Amino acid sequence: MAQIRRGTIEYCVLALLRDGERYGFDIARTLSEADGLVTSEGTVYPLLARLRRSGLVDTTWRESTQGPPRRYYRLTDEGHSSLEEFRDQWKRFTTAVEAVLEADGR
Amino acid sequence: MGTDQTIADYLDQLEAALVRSGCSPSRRAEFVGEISEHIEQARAQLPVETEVSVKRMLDRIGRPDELAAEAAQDEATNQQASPRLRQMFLLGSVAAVVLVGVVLGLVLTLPASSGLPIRLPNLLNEQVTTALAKLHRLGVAQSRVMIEEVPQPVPWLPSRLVLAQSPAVGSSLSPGARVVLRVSRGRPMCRPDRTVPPSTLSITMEHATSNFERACYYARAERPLSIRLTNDVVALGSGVPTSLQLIISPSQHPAMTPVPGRPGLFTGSAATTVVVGPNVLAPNSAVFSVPPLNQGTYIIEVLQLGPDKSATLVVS
Repeated sequence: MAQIRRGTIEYCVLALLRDGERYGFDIARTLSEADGLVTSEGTVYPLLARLRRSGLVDTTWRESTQGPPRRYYRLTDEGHSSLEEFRDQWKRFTTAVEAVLEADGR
Repeated sequence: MGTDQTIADYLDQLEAALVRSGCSPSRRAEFVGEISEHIEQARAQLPVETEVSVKRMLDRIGRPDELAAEAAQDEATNQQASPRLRQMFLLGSVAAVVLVGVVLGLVLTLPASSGLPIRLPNLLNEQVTTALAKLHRLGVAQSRVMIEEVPQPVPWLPSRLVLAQSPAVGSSLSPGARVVLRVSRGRPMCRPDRTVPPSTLSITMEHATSNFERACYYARAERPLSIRLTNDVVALGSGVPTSLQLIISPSQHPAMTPVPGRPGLFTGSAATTVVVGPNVLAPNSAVFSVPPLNQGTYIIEVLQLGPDKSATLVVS
Protein backbone atom coordinates (compact mmCIF):
# COMPACT_ATOMS: atom_id res chain seq x y z
CA MET A 1 0.00 0.00 0.00
CA ALA A 2 2.88 2.32 0.83
CA GLN A 3 4.23 1.81 -2.69
CA ILE A 4 0.88 2.66 -4.27
CA ARG A 5 0.66 5.76 -2.10
CA ARG A 6 4.18 6.79 -2.99
CA GLY A 7 3.49 6.31 -6.68
CA THR A 8 0.24 8.26 -6.74
CA ILE A 9 0.87 11.10 -4.33
CA GLU A 10 2.82 13.19 -6.83
CA TYR A 11 -0.14 13.11 -9.18
CA CYS A 12 -2.36 14.25 -6.31
CA VAL A 13 -0.09 17.28 -6.01
CA LEU A 14 -0.34 17.91 -9.74
CA ALA A 15 -4.13 17.62 -9.46
CA LEU A 16 -4.19 20.21 -6.67
CA LEU A 17 -2.39 22.60 -9.00
CA ARG A 18 -4.62 21.91 -11.99
CA ASP A 19 -6.82 24.96 -11.38
CA GLY A 20 -4.12 27.40 -10.37
CA GLU A 21 -1.03 27.99 -8.32
CA ARG A 22 -0.72 27.26 -4.60
CA TYR A 23 2.00 27.74 -2.04
CA GLY A 24 3.83 24.93 -0.29
CA PHE A 25 2.15 25.22 3.09
CA ASP A 26 -1.28 25.15 1.48
CA ILE A 27 -0.42 22.02 -0.56
CA ALA A 28 1.06 20.23 2.46
CA ARG A 29 -1.90 21.05 4.68
CA THR A 30 -4.48 20.01 2.07
CA LEU A 31 -2.76 16.67 1.49
CA SER A 32 -2.36 16.00 5.20
CA GLU A 33 -6.06 16.56 5.73
CA ALA A 34 -6.95 13.91 3.14
CA ASP A 35 -7.09 10.66 5.06
CA GLY A 36 -4.19 8.29 4.38
CA LEU A 37 -2.44 10.27 1.65
CA VAL A 38 0.63 11.49 3.53
CA THR A 39 2.02 10.49 6.89
CA SER A 40 2.95 14.07 7.80
CA GLU A 41 2.96 17.55 6.29
CA GLY A 42 6.75 17.80 6.07
CA THR A 43 7.08 14.78 3.77
CA VAL A 44 5.40 16.78 1.00
CA TYR A 45 8.46 19.03 0.53
CA PRO A 46 10.83 16.36 -0.86
CA LEU A 47 8.05 15.47 -3.26
CA LEU A 48 7.65 19.09 -4.35
CA ALA A 49 11.41 19.30 -4.87
CA ARG A 50 11.25 16.19 -7.07
CA LEU A 51 8.41 17.63 -9.17
CA ARG A 52 10.35 20.87 -9.53
CA ARG A 53 13.47 19.09 -10.71
CA SER A 54 11.56 16.94 -13.16
CA GLY A 55 10.01 20.04 -14.73
CA LEU A 56 6.40 19.13 -13.92
CA VAL A 57 5.96 22.24 -11.76
CA ASP A 58 7.74 25.53 -11.57
CA THR A 59 7.84 28.04 -8.76
CA THR A 60 7.89 31.73 -8.01
CA TRP A 61 8.49 33.59 -4.76
CA ARG A 62 5.96 36.20 -3.73
CA GLU A 63 5.72 38.59 -0.84
CA SER A 64 2.93 37.82 1.61
CA THR A 65 0.98 40.25 3.74
CA GLN A 66 0.77 37.59 6.45
CA GLY A 67 4.37 36.66 7.05
CA PRO A 68 7.47 35.65 5.13
CA PRO A 69 7.58 35.40 1.31
CA ARG A 70 5.91 32.29 -0.03
CA ARG A 71 7.03 29.95 -2.76
CA TYR A 72 4.14 29.34 -5.13
CA TYR A 73 3.94 26.23 -7.31
CA ARG A 74 2.20 25.94 -10.63
CA LEU A 75 1.86 23.26 -13.28
CA THR A 76 4.04 23.41 -16.38
CA ASP A 77 2.72 22.22 -19.74
CA GLU A 78 4.58 18.97 -19.13
CA GLY A 79 2.89 18.73 -15.73
CA HIS A 80 -0.54 19.14 -17.30
CA SER A 81 0.21 16.42 -19.87
CA SER A 82 1.59 14.11 -17.21
CA LEU A 83 -1.52 14.58 -15.06
CA GLU A 84 -3.91 13.89 -17.92
CA GLU A 85 -1.98 10.78 -18.91
CA PHE A 86 -2.07 9.56 -15.31
CA ARG A 87 -5.82 10.19 -15.01
CA ASP A 88 -6.52 7.92 -17.98
CA GLN A 89 -4.21 5.21 -16.72
CA TRP A 90 -5.55 5.49 -13.16
CA LYS A 91 -9.14 5.03 -14.32
CA ARG A 92 -8.22 1.91 -16.24
CA PHE A 93 -6.15 0.61 -13.33
CA THR A 94 -8.79 1.14 -10.63
CA THR A 95 -11.53 -0.31 -12.84
CA ALA A 96 -9.42 -3.39 -13.44
CA VAL A 97 -8.54 -3.79 -9.75
CA GLU A 98 -12.14 -3.36 -8.65
CA ALA A 99 -13.30 -5.94 -11.20
CA VAL A 100 -10.78 -8.46 -9.88
CA LEU A 101 -11.60 -7.74 -6.24
CA GLU A 102 -15.33 -8.09 -6.80
CA ALA A 103 -14.91 -11.28 -8.81
CA ASP A 104 -12.73 -12.70 -6.06
CA GLY A 105 -15.40 -11.98 -3.45
CA ARG A 106 -18.16 -13.89 -5.21
CA MET B 1 11.02 25.50 27.98
CA GLY B 2 9.54 28.22 25.72
CA THR B 3 7.87 27.58 22.39
CA ASP B 4 10.72 29.26 20.49
CA GLN B 5 13.17 26.88 22.10
CA THR B 6 10.94 23.91 21.23
CA ILE B 7 10.98 24.96 17.58
CA ALA B 8 14.72 25.64 17.58
CA ASP B 9 15.33 22.17 19.10
CA TYR B 10 13.10 20.59 16.46
CA LEU B 11 15.06 22.28 13.64
CA ASP B 12 18.34 21.19 15.26
CA GLN B 13 17.08 17.61 15.41
CA LEU B 14 16.01 17.82 11.77
CA GLU B 15 19.43 19.14 10.74
CA ALA B 16 21.16 16.33 12.68
CA ALA B 17 18.86 13.69 11.19
CA LEU B 18 19.56 15.01 7.67
CA VAL B 19 23.31 14.79 8.33
CA ARG B 20 22.91 11.19 9.54
CA SER B 21 20.82 10.29 6.50
CA GLY B 22 23.59 11.46 4.17
CA CYS B 23 21.75 14.40 2.57
CA SER B 24 24.02 16.83 0.75
CA PRO B 25 24.65 20.22 2.44
CA SER B 26 22.74 22.10 -0.26
CA ARG B 27 19.71 19.81 0.01
CA ARG B 28 19.88 20.02 3.82
CA ALA B 29 19.85 23.80 3.73
CA GLU B 30 16.99 23.87 1.24
CA PHE B 31 14.89 21.37 3.18
CA VAL B 32 15.44 23.00 6.57
CA GLY B 33 14.53 26.32 4.96
CA GLU B 34 11.29 24.85 3.60
CA ILE B 35 10.35 23.34 6.95
CA SER B 36 11.23 26.60 8.74
CA GLU B 37 8.87 28.49 6.45
CA HIS B 38 6.18 25.87 6.95
CA ILE B 39 6.54 26.25 10.72
CA GLU B 40 6.29 30.02 10.38
CA GLN B 41 3.02 29.75 8.51
CA ALA B 42 1.57 27.00 10.70
CA ARG B 43 2.51 29.02 13.77
CA ALA B 44 0.68 32.08 12.46
CA GLN B 45 -2.49 29.98 12.25
CA LEU B 46 -2.41 28.79 15.85
CA PRO B 47 -5.34 30.39 17.68
CA VAL B 48 -3.29 30.44 20.87
CA GLU B 49 0.39 29.59 21.07
CA THR B 50 1.20 27.25 23.93
CA GLU B 51 3.78 24.54 24.47
CA VAL B 52 1.10 21.92 23.76
CA SER B 53 -0.21 23.57 20.58
CA VAL B 54 3.32 24.03 19.21
CA LYS B 55 4.21 20.39 19.94
CA ARG B 56 1.02 19.29 18.21
CA MET B 57 1.93 21.49 15.23
CA LEU B 58 5.40 19.90 15.04
CA ASP B 59 3.91 16.39 15.33
CA ARG B 60 1.75 17.22 12.36
CA ILE B 61 4.79 18.30 10.34
CA GLY B 62 6.51 15.01 11.12
CA ARG B 63 9.29 13.43 13.14
CA PRO B 64 12.75 14.71 12.13
CA ASP B 65 14.05 11.21 11.35
CA GLU B 66 11.00 10.45 9.21
CA LEU B 67 11.41 13.68 7.23
CA ALA B 68 15.15 13.10 6.85
CA ALA B 69 14.55 9.58 5.51
CA GLU B 70 12.09 10.97 2.98
CA ALA B 71 14.47 13.72 1.86
CA ALA B 72 17.38 11.26 1.58
CA GLN B 73 15.33 8.83 -0.45
CA ASP B 74 14.27 11.65 -2.75
CA GLU B 75 17.86 12.74 -3.23
CA ALA B 76 18.98 9.17 -3.94
CA THR B 77 16.22 8.82 -6.54
CA ASN B 78 17.31 12.07 -8.12
CA GLN B 79 20.87 10.87 -8.41
CA GLN B 80 19.80 7.83 -10.46
CA ALA B 81 19.70 9.29 -13.97
CA SER B 82 16.60 8.43 -15.97
CA PRO B 83 16.98 6.49 -19.25
CA ARG B 84 16.15 9.67 -21.17
CA LEU B 85 18.86 11.54 -19.33
CA ARG B 86 21.41 8.78 -19.97
CA GLN B 87 20.54 8.93 -23.66
CA MET B 88 21.10 12.68 -23.62
CA PHE B 89 24.49 12.17 -22.01
CA LEU B 90 25.47 9.69 -24.71
CA LEU B 91 24.34 11.98 -27.49
CA GLY B 92 25.92 15.10 -26.10
CA SER B 93 28.92 14.06 -24.06
CA VAL B 94 30.85 17.21 -24.91
CA ALA B 95 27.96 19.41 -23.79
CA ALA B 96 27.67 17.38 -20.62
CA VAL B 97 31.33 17.88 -19.81
CA VAL B 98 30.90 21.63 -20.28
CA LEU B 99 27.77 21.56 -18.13
CA VAL B 100 29.51 19.63 -15.37
CA GLY B 101 32.36 22.14 -15.53
CA VAL B 102 29.94 25.04 -15.14
CA VAL B 103 28.09 23.37 -12.28
CA LEU B 104 31.36 22.51 -10.59
CA GLY B 105 32.47 26.10 -10.96
CA LEU B 106 29.26 27.33 -9.38
CA VAL B 107 29.54 24.87 -6.51
CA LEU B 108 33.10 25.93 -5.84
CA THR B 109 32.03 29.56 -5.57
CA LEU B 110 29.40 28.75 -2.94
CA PRO B 111 30.52 30.04 0.45
CA ALA B 112 29.31 26.93 2.30
CA SER B 113 31.47 24.57 0.35
CA SER B 114 34.48 26.79 -0.16
CA GLY B 115 34.99 27.95 3.42
CA LEU B 116 35.27 31.56 2.16
CA PRO B 117 33.76 34.36 4.28
CA ILE B 118 30.03 34.80 3.87
CA ARG B 119 28.58 38.25 3.28
CA LEU B 120 25.66 38.65 5.66
CA PRO B 121 22.29 39.53 4.13
CA ASN B 122 19.82 41.95 5.67
CA LEU B 123 17.92 39.97 8.30
CA LEU B 124 16.29 42.93 10.02
CA ASN B 125 12.50 42.78 10.42
CA GLU B 126 12.48 39.14 9.36
CA GLN B 127 10.84 36.50 11.51
CA VAL B 128 13.64 34.57 13.17
CA THR B 129 12.77 31.31 11.40
CA THR B 130 12.98 33.11 8.03
CA ALA B 131 16.32 34.63 9.03
CA LEU B 132 17.60 31.18 10.02
CA ALA B 133 16.43 29.77 6.71
CA LYS B 134 18.27 32.53 4.83
CA LEU B 135 21.41 31.79 6.81
CA HIS B 136 21.03 28.07 6.16
CA ARG B 137 20.91 28.74 2.44
CA LEU B 138 24.24 30.53 2.77
CA GLY B 139 25.69 27.58 4.64
CA VAL B 140 25.48 28.99 8.17
CA ALA B 141 24.30 26.17 10.45
CA GLN B 142 21.84 27.02 13.18
CA SER B 143 24.40 26.03 15.80
CA ARG B 144 26.40 29.12 14.72
CA VAL B 145 23.49 31.49 15.35
CA MET B 146 22.85 32.97 18.80
CA ILE B 147 19.35 34.29 19.37
CA GLU B 148 18.86 36.83 22.14
CA GLU B 149 15.53 38.29 23.15
CA VAL B 150 15.47 41.98 24.00
CA PRO B 151 14.76 42.45 27.72
CA GLN B 152 11.45 44.32 27.38
CA PRO B 153 8.36 43.21 25.48
CA VAL B 154 7.33 45.64 22.75
CA PRO B 155 3.54 45.39 22.45
CA TRP B 156 3.22 46.48 18.84
CA LEU B 157 5.92 44.21 17.45
CA PRO B 158 5.22 40.59 16.61
CA SER B 159 7.21 38.09 18.61
CA ARG B 160 10.60 36.89 17.32
CA LEU B 161 11.22 39.66 14.83
CA VAL B 162 14.91 40.36 14.16
CA LEU B 163 15.64 43.85 15.53
CA ALA B 164 19.44 43.79 15.31
CA GLN B 165 22.06 41.55 13.81
CA SER B 166 25.74 41.16 14.40
CA PRO B 167 27.87 41.25 12.27
CA ALA B 168 26.03 44.02 10.43
CA VAL B 169 24.35 43.75 7.03
CA GLY B 170 26.93 43.28 4.29
CA SER B 171 29.73 42.36 6.70
CA SER B 172 31.78 39.25 6.17
CA LEU B 173 31.29 36.28 8.44
CA SER B 174 34.53 34.40 8.82
CA PRO B 175 34.45 30.61 8.78
CA GLY B 176 33.39 29.35 12.20
CA ALA B 177 32.30 32.81 13.46
CA ARG B 178 28.90 33.26 15.08
CA VAL B 179 25.92 35.38 14.10
CA VAL B 180 23.97 37.11 16.86
CA LEU B 181 20.34 38.00 16.26
CA ARG B 182 18.47 40.18 18.74
CA VAL B 183 14.78 39.48 18.48
CA SER B 184 11.61 41.04 19.81
CA ARG B 185 9.92 39.56 22.82
CA GLY B 186 6.47 40.29 21.49
CA ARG B 187 3.24 40.51 23.31
CA PRO B 188 2.70 38.65 26.58
CA MET B 189 1.65 35.05 26.13
CA CYS B 190 -2.03 34.43 26.82
CA ARG B 191 -2.65 30.94 28.07
CA PRO B 192 -5.92 29.30 27.01
CA ASP B 193 -8.71 29.98 29.45
CA ARG B 194 -10.20 26.73 30.73
CA THR B 195 -13.38 28.39 31.91
CA VAL B 196 -16.13 29.32 29.48
CA PRO B 197 -15.82 33.06 28.84
CA PRO B 198 -18.96 35.04 29.69
CA SER B 199 -21.02 36.65 26.96
CA THR B 200 -20.20 40.07 28.40
CA LEU B 201 -16.54 40.96 28.42
CA SER B 202 -15.59 43.32 31.24
CA ILE B 203 -12.66 45.56 30.48
CA THR B 204 -11.39 48.09 32.99
CA MET B 205 -8.88 50.80 32.25
CA GLU B 206 -6.93 51.52 35.42
CA HIS B 207 -6.26 55.03 36.56
CA ALA B 208 -2.84 54.37 38.11
CA THR B 209 -1.28 53.07 34.91
CA SER B 210 -3.67 54.40 32.26
CA ASN B 211 -3.58 50.84 31.02
CA PHE B 212 -5.70 47.73 30.86
CA GLU B 213 -6.36 45.96 34.11
CA ARG B 214 -5.36 42.64 32.50
CA ALA B 215 -3.01 41.65 29.69
CA CYS B 216 -5.28 38.92 28.31
CA TYR B 217 -9.03 38.77 27.77
CA TYR B 218 -11.07 35.87 26.44
CA ALA B 219 -14.27 35.51 24.44
CA ARG B 220 -16.16 32.77 22.63
CA ALA B 221 -15.97 32.58 18.85
CA GLU B 222 -18.97 33.35 16.71
CA ARG B 223 -21.26 34.11 19.66
CA PRO B 224 -23.08 37.33 20.48
CA LEU B 225 -20.75 39.44 22.57
CA SER B 226 -21.13 42.57 24.68
CA ILE B 227 -18.30 44.61 26.11
CA ARG B 228 -18.54 46.58 29.34
CA LEU B 229 -15.85 49.25 29.32
CA THR B 230 -15.13 50.85 32.67
CA ASN B 231 -13.08 54.00 32.32
CA ASP B 232 -11.26 54.64 35.60
CA VAL B 233 -8.68 56.90 34.00
CA VAL B 234 -10.13 59.93 35.69
CA ALA B 235 -7.54 62.35 34.36
CA LEU B 236 -4.46 62.20 32.21
CA GLY B 237 -1.62 64.75 32.48
CA SER B 238 -3.78 67.74 31.65
CA GLY B 239 -6.29 67.05 34.46
CA VAL B 240 -9.15 66.94 31.94
CA PRO B 241 -11.53 63.96 32.43
CA THR B 242 -10.66 61.35 29.86
CA SER B 243 -12.88 59.92 27.22
CA LEU B 244 -11.74 56.51 26.02
CA GLN B 245 -12.74 54.57 22.93
CA LEU B 246 -11.88 50.88 22.46
CA ILE B 247 -10.80 49.48 19.12
CA ILE B 248 -10.19 45.82 18.38
CA SER B 249 -8.31 44.44 15.39
CA PRO B 250 -6.63 41.15 14.41
CA SER B 251 -3.29 40.78 16.19
CA GLN B 252 -1.36 40.57 12.91
CA HIS B 253 -2.79 43.93 11.83
CA PRO B 254 -3.06 46.31 14.78
CA ALA B 255 -5.05 49.44 14.05
CA MET B 256 -2.30 51.66 15.46
CA THR B 257 1.40 51.42 14.75
CA PRO B 258 4.17 53.68 16.04
CA VAL B 259 6.02 56.01 13.69
CA PRO B 260 9.64 54.77 13.53
CA GLY B 261 12.05 57.12 15.28
CA ARG B 262 9.26 59.37 16.64
CA PRO B 263 8.48 58.22 20.19
CA GLY B 264 4.88 58.85 21.17
CA LEU B 265 3.66 59.31 17.60
CA PHE B 266 1.64 56.66 15.84
CA THR B 267 -0.39 56.15 12.71
CA GLY B 268 -3.79 54.51 12.62
CA SER B 269 -5.82 52.62 10.07
CA ALA B 270 -9.41 51.55 10.40
CA ALA B 271 -9.07 49.09 7.51
CA THR B 272 -8.57 46.03 9.68
CA THR B 273 -10.49 47.13 12.75
CA VAL B 274 -13.34 44.79 13.66
CA VAL B 275 -14.74 46.67 16.66
CA VAL B 276 -14.96 50.41 17.37
CA GLY B 277 -16.63 51.17 20.67
CA PRO B 278 -18.37 54.34 21.84
CA ASN B 279 -16.59 57.09 23.77
CA VAL B 280 -16.78 56.46 27.52
CA LEU B 281 -16.15 59.45 29.78
CA ALA B 282 -14.44 58.79 33.15
CA PRO B 283 -15.47 57.72 35.71
CA ASN B 284 -18.17 55.71 33.97
CA SER B 285 -18.97 52.36 32.40
CA ALA B 286 -20.76 51.65 29.17
CA VAL B 287 -21.97 48.39 27.68
CA PHE B 288 -22.04 47.96 23.92
CA SER B 289 -22.63 45.01 21.57
CA VAL B 290 -20.10 43.90 19.02
CA PRO B 291 -20.49 41.57 16.05
CA PRO B 292 -19.61 37.90 16.71
CA LEU B 293 -15.87 37.45 16.30
CA ASN B 294 -14.13 34.66 14.44
CA GLN B 295 -11.68 32.44 16.26
CA GLY B 296 -8.29 34.08 16.57
CA THR B 297 -6.11 36.45 18.51
CA TYR B 298 -6.95 40.14 18.53
CA ILE B 299 -5.38 43.26 19.92
CA ILE B 300 -7.44 45.66 22.02
CA GLU B 301 -6.30 49.26 21.91
CA VAL B 302 -7.62 52.60 23.08
CA LEU B 303 -7.72 55.34 20.51
CA GLN B 304 -6.73 58.07 22.97
CA LEU B 305 -3.78 56.19 24.49
CA GLY B 306 -1.91 54.87 21.48
CA PRO B 307 -0.43 51.48 20.70
CA ASP B 308 1.73 51.10 23.80
CA LYS B 309 -1.34 50.61 26.00
CA SER B 310 -2.97 47.47 24.72
CA ALA B 311 -4.19 44.01 25.67
CA THR B 312 -4.74 40.70 23.89
CA LEU B 313 -8.15 39.21 23.21
CA VAL B 314 -8.19 35.46 22.59
CA VAL B 315 -11.34 34.31 20.83
CA SER B 316 -11.79 30.54 20.82
